[in-house]
Amino acid sequence: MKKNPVIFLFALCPLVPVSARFGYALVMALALCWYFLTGIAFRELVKKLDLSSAGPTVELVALAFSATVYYLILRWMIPTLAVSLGLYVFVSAFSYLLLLGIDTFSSDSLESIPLMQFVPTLILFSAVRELLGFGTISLPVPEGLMVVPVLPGFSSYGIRFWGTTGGAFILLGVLAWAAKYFHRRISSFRRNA
Amino acid sequence: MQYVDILFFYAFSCSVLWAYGIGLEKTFFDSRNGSRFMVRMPILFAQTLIAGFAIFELNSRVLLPHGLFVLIPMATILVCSLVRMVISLALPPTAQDFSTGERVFFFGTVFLATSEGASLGNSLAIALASVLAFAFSTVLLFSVRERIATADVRADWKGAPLILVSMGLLAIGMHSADVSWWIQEAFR
Repeated sequence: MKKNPVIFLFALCPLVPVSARFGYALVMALALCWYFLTGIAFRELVKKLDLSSAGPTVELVALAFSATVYYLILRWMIPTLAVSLGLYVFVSAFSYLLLLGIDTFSSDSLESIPLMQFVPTLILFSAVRELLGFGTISLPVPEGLMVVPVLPGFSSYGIRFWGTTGGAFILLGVLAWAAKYFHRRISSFRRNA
Repeated sequence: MQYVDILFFYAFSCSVLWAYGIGLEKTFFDSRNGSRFMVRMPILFAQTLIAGFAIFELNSRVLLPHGLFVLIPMATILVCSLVRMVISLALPPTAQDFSTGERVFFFGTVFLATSEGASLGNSLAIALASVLAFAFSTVLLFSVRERIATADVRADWKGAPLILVSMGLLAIGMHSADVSWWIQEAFR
């Protein structure tokens, strides 16, 4: 697997439309964890069956199966969210695919999957977007989303631009710059110390 | 006129890239110098249309009439993989691309087209528009990269940060076509 931070950022892109709300991002983060856990089971199964060249295709079909099961569970538990998210539950599987690696989908080293960094990043990113855009934090409840006002006045005067796809990409660009900037500063500090 | 509307809508305003974020990673890497983007385009068109046709027929004639909608995602992946395999057999090794980025874009486009298209014609138009959106975006990002390469910007901004900001501006630009009054007036 290539440890490329750019791919890490672009794995966020399929989730950009849904990450405008913290509650949606939580549901998507759970979906990614679900794909990871079921992925381990299916990978072991593929190894045992020794499917050789058909292995990656079977794993992909298994990923689609995991996404369908997650969608059915979501529809049973929170039907309103299942309707609003719909297609994005399956789109999150593409995001997971990108996370798994670039040229070696059927990688053996599961521990190198950057999911542990990706899930907090997704949650933090959506919290920042919702706070900047609407001044609220939403949480998934059986009726749909419960919106909790956090920053008073933002519901009227918040910059809703950050809730849009364009705003999210610009925010991601700024985050990528900040990561590069601080990485360089820390490296030069360590060299001088 | 209906198909022109669909093509325009899914190529610009609500494209698979800018509205769904599918294929952005591929656009990012394919817009670099020396990519095989132009060689792959006809293949991408062909496999998307063939897979879109096959999956729409399978869904509308077999799966949906029997209430087997839960099998649609798995069937989509299977058919897409089969189409990819058959097409790659007919291609020279230099024209093949087994990257995850291409796979994600291909599966995502076909899945979106068959999910959102109300008829076979609509589905194929959405698939075509999605690949067109990818082509436009890659060419635009290529020119953005050319400008960045010659521009005097700080090192920290070069690469992914500035490309992502440019992508944000492109997304706004693409969506503006849907809300601007002059386009609505022109198509009235």
